[in-house]
Amino acid sequence: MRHCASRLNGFELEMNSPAQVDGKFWRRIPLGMLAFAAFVVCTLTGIMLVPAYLPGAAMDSLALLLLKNPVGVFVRSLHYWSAQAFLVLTLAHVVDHLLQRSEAKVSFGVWLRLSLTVPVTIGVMLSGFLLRGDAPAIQALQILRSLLGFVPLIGIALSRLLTGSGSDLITVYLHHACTATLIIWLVTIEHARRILPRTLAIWCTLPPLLTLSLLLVPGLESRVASIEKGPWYLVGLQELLHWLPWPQLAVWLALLAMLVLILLPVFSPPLRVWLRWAMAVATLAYAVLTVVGIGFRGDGWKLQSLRSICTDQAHFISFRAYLPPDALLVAKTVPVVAGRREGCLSCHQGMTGFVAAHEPGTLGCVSCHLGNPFTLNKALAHVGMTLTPGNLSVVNRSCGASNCHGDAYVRVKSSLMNTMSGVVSVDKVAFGESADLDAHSDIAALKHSPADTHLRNLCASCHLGQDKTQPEPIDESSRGGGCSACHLRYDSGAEAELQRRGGPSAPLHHPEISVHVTEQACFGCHSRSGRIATNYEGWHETLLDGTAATATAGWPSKFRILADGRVFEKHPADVHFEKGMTCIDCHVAAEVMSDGAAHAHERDAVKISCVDCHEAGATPAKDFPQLDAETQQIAAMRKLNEPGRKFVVSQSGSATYVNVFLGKDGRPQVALIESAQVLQPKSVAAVCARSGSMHERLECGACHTAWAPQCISCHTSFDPKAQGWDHLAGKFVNGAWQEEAADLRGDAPPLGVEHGAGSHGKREERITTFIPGMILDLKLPFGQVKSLGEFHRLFAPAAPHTTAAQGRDCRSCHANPAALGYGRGQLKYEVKGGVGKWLFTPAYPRSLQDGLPLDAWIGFLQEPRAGATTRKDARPFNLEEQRRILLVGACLDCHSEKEGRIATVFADFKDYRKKLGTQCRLPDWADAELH
Amino acid sequence: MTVSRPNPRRLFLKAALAPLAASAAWLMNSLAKRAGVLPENAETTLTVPLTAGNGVRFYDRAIVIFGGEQLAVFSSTCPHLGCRINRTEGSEIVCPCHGSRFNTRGEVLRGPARRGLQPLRFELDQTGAALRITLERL
Repeated sequence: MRHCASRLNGFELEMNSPAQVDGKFWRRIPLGMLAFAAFVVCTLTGIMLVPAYLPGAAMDSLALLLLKNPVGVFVRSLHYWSAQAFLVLTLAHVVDHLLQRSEAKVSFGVWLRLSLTVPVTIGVMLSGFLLRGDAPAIQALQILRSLLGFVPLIGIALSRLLTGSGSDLITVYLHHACTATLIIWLVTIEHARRILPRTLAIWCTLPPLLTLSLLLVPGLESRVASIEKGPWYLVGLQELLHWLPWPQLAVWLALLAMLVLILLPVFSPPLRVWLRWAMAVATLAYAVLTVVGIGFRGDGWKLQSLRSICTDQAHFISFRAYLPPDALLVAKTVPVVAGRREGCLSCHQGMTGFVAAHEPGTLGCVSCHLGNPFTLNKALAHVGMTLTPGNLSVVNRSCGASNCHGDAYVRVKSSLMNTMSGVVSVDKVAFGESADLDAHSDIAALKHSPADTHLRNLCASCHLGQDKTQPEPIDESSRGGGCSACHLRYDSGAEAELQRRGGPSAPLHHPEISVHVTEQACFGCHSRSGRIATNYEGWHETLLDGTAATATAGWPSKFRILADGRVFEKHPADVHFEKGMTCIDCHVAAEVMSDGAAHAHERDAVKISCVDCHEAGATPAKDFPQLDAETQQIAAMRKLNEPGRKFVVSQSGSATYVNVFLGKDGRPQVALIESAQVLQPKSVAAVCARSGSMHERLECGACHTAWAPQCISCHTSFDPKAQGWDHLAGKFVNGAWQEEAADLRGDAPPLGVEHGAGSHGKREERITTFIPGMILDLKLPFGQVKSLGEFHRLFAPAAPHTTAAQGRDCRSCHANPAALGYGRGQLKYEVKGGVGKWLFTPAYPRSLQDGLPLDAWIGFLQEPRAGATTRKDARPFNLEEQRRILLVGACLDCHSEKEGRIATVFADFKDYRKKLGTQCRLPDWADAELH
Repeated sequence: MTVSRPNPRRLFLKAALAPLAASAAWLMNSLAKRAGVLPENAETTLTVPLTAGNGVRFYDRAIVIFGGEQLAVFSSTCPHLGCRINRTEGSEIVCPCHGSRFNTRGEVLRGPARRGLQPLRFELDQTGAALRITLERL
């Protein structure tokens, strides 16, 4: 006490003449007196808040205060900041006393009371946090009750005594406003020997408190978050509890620390030194835990980067936010939505365009768009708001919030539409930066290697995680946007609102957010790369520019210019498109939005197959109650959940269609989602279903793919002088990658062999369609790699989505050099001296790099080199397979495929060979092949 | 110079305070235990629709897990320190306060929780279209 009195004198001296005070500068700061002053401010503002605060409706009373009571907002802010100052100054004062060895200068009784002030101070602060009554406060109340229960002997009593029971905050309020406040006041009076702090201390304390109160008004957490953090001074404890399987240990440690502090005067001086060091180390460790907890913990208490956490913090905003713009607005009743006041609806009433589940009356605005619902000030209500809540960078707080689509967004983040795993892995192999084609990659994790810059420059705009910066529908020049990319549907009203955007009035019509995924949403992204969306509708990309296209015969009926300026010409559309089917008629949610597993390539993620509808045997199906929740919900929203309906399960067993069900005859029927028309798919043709057939290895697409877009050689180079757009960083960078295709062809694709789940839903070696994945001459940037040039001839298995009802004829495979991978040209069967011989004249010149024709995959009748595809488990036909195919082709040179025996003769050609007449001239290697 | 000697009577009275305080603490703890029943206005049962299909659904104080023919209902109170669990990551049920993770059978996948989720009793209501769940005592 004597010590404090002398410190007080020091305070007086400092105020009069700082030079008269000895010691370091920080020791001249009268921490205790300043803490006392902060406590007085806190107490007075607390009393002022009493009329506005209702502990029985804590959050709502605070929300109304924030929305309609600017004076109350200021007083609450001052209450908050004076409390924070009181805590910090009190703890600093305690440390100061320990450094001064004050325990030896006061009686044990005084020391005991002062020591007990520490938990009481933390208690009064924590109770203030609990009295917010919002989601973090409710969680903190539960944790506090559990921890108090661990106090030996009196745990349960202590818990009930201090926190009451249930959701009732009256007990907490009582202790906050009376018990703890009185204890602190009494101990402070005894400690400082004053009833009130010095006037000068109050004047020193007020300016920073007033400034903080005006600049950083604490808000409320209006929504249940994916991570709940307690008040900053207890986040260290929260982090510790994350690591401790026995939470009672934390309680015992806290009690032990208190006991050490209380009993410090009774220990010997050498032991006290040791204990001081122990307390210093413990304090440092706690500070580290606090920094980790506050700075680096994200969703589900997982470690994340500091940057990603900081984006989540928008809790404190300026006092100006709470100044209502006019009295008329204040007079309005602020509606309660989803259990909270929603100030947004004071201005944004009467908005149309929503499906029932997303009506503002159900969800409000903040559920999706974030922002601050507790202010009527337009500009500041929009602080922290997002116009594009579907962006995957914010989706954990919008669409993916725990009460909404918390499961779906995690799956979507792992989907190939977001990770682009295959694209990244193959590109890195092509650039010599990896040897693993099947590596699980994520485009968001790219750095700045040559392959990374190539992907950033040319490919990253397509991934779903590419944030949209403003609301607009998906098209070929504007992609990304996360959930909104597929689920946001702009009708004419929403389009008109886009035109009016930035005007004086609030928008009145919102794009629909629903399971109604438009074709345009798919088309915008999938018109590139494999171009399956354009193929499906019957459009093939050309090398023409827009001007040249308009001057071409057939314009405009045979040409189409996309939003990004590329010119497409008319080709046969997919038969499913002709029947009116859209993408989501086949591609189910569990497939498109991912099943949550990390897939390396698209083929691994596909769950559906042709035979799911074009049945080749028994069709598995489920009743509605057996469906998973998501499929049930989608079926219900699309009104497809008629009683008694049996929903078809894919042959892979991993997906169920909401729109494919068994008809009365037990065969699958397809209800088109867009038009509600019901189709009866044809069963697999007999020739395809025949068991033991030599065509058993063929995927449906091998015969039924009419055409595929194919780049004939591509030159890829890096221009260090050009400006390139980094799609991930969203900025221009020095240097740009450029691609030049030699030609684009839209004809029947080559065939090859792939292991994997195919159209028949089985994992085995199958013959399927391939397209040139990378026939490229790569000029790598000088200085970044040793080699300046790379050449690749990699073909990729692909499903071009150009299905024709009529399959390919026999010659289109068995006597077609392009189908076998030799490239386009003339394949001629010539008989000389009684022996046949295949001759091939390529249409394209030979590459300088590997000697093959520009469009070829493999050499004519040669064993293919290893590593000719973009997949580990895919390959071109080997020499034996080429010979077998061409053996049939040799027969077709004379015989028509319409001859009845042609269909059966090859089932056992080895046997049939003995019956052949002398007029049949087989290739010179035929007999060797047959043996 | 005089040396003050401790008063034995005062020492005895002080020492007698300790068991008195311990007895009072025990009494109060017992009282609190007996007082720990639900408030009269708190819900003891929860009725949820049975149309949700497979997956994990959160209903404030209960987690309902539909999995094929299986149906399980757990308390949403984290067995670690009582936080309300409100989200999943993939098929994992995650506590937002300290990061405990549970599978759909309620078992602990990762701590700090050491016990699994508390199963709740439930029954089909009279219509057969809804579950009546008996909630934990608060």
